[in-house]
Amino acid sequence: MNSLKDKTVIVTGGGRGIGATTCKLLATEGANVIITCRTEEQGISIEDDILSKSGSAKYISHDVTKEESWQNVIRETLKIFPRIDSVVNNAGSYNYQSISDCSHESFKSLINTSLDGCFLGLKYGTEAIRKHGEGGSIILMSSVLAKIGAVNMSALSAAHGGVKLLAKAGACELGPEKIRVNSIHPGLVDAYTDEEFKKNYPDSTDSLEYEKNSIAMIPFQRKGSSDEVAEAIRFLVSDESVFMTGAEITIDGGLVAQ
Amino acid sequence: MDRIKDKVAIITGATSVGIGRETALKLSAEGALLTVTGRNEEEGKKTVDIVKSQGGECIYIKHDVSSEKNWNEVIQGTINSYGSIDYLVNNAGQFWIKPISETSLDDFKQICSVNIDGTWLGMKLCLDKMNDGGAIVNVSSLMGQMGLPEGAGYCASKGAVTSMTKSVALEAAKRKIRVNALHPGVIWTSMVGGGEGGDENLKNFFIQETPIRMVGLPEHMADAILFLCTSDYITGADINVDGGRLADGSMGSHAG
Repeated sequence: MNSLKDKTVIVTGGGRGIGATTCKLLATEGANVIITCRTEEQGISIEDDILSKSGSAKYISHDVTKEESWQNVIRETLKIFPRIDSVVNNAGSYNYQSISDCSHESFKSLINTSLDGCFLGLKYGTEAIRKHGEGGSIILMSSVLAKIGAVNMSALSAAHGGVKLLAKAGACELGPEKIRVNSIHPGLVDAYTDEEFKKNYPDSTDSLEYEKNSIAMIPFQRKGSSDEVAEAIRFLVSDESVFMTGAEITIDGGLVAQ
Repeated sequence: MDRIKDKVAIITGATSVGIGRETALKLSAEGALLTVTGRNEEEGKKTVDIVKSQGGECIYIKHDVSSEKNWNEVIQGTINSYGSIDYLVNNAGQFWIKPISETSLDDFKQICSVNIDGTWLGMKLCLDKMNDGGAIVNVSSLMGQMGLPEGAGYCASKGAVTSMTKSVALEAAKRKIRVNALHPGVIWTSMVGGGEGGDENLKNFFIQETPIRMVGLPEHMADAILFLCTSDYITGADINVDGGRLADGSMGSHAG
C-alpha cells in the first residue's frame, strides 16, 4: 500500500491512542512520519515500532501550546526530510467536570491544548507547506462535541466547536494555495484502557462510568476504534480527498444522527 | 488493490460520463462485482464494456429509479448474477433550475420523484436483501444544505435525501449497515453544463467561486464513495466534497 508515498506528515499527540495508531498506519502507506508528543518514552516507542517494520519515522519532542516548540518541530523535520506535506493536529486534552466544578484554570488549560494547539498547527503547518508551494493537507481533530452539547463537557464542547470553525476558516483562506483543511469528529473511541485513562486524566475518572452507560445510546452499540479514525486521517492526508476542504468527517456509529 | 474484493455493488446513474461511471471504475478496480443502472441502454452497455476491458465484472440493467418495478428488476438481476448485495450507491439524480413562479407542480413533483422517491425506493427495497455490514451511499448535494435561487425543487429534493439518510442509518444500524450522504459541490459534468467540451467561461466562474480554485471531477466523488463503502464506523453522516464552497457560504449569493 503506497497511498502516501513520499509524503511527510507531522502527527501531534503521536505517542499514544489515536495518534499512535495513525502514525503506524501512515507509515505502512509509505509516508515519512514525524511523531510528536511530550512524553519521550512513548514517542520513541512508536518510532522504534515503525522503524522495525521498515517504515520511515522520527520522534520529536513537542508542546503544541508553545510557538517555539512548533518552530523547532518544523526545523527539525526539514533537516531529515525535504518537505512537509501534511500536519495532523491530533493532540488534545480532556476534562469531564460540571461547569460549577470546572475551575477557570482547567477550562483555559483545555482550550490552550485543544484549540490554541490547533491554531498554532494551522499557522506553522501552513508556513511549512508554503515552502514548496504545491499545497498540502492539514487535519484538525475535533469531536462530536462540536455538534451536540453534553453534560460535564463544557470545556470540550467549547474547544471542539472552535476547532471545527477554525478548520473552515482555514479552508477558505488557504484554498487558493491548495492547502486543504478538514476536521474529524469522532464519537466515543476505544483509544485507552481504563488504567491508562485514569493515569492521564485523574480529575475525569467519573467519565469512565458515563462512557460505559453511553454505549447503549450509540446506534452501532459499540465504541469506535483508533484504527477506524486513523483510516479517515489517511484518507484526508492522501490525494484521494484532493477536492475536500472545509469538510467534516463524523465517525460516531450514528450517535449524532439521532 | 483489493479493498472490496468480491463485494457486490449496485450503482445507479452509471450510464454516462460522470460520477456513476467513474465510481464503477473505482469500485471495480478495488475488486467489486457491479450492477450499473440507468435509462440510457447504449451508454449503460458502454460502461459495462469499459469496466470489463479493465478486467472487472459488470452487468447493466435498464432502470428508471422512480419506478418500483424497475428497482425490483435491478435487485433480482443482481442477486441472480452475484447472489447478494453489499453496497448501494444512489447516484442517479436530476438537476434543473427555474424561477418558482414558473415552476409547475408537475415539474416539482417530477424532480422529487427522481431525487427523493428514487433514493427512498433504493434504500427500502435493497436493505432487506443486503448483507449485514454493507453500506448505502446517497449522492445528495451541497444544495441539500443551502439555498440556490431558482432551485427550490432541487434544494428541497436534496435536503430530503440528506435527512432521510440519517433516519435509515438509525434503522439499519442494528445490522451494521452504514448509510451516509455525500454533498458534492460543483462536479464538472454535463449535469452542470460541464464535462468534455463544456463552457470554459462557466468553468472559470466556478473555479473562482470555489476556495480551492478548481472544479471537482467525477473521480473525486468516486474516491469519497469508496471511502464510505470501507469505513466501518461512519453512519448517518453527511460529508461535503466541495472544495470548500459550503465553508465559505458564498455559493447561493453568486448563483443565478
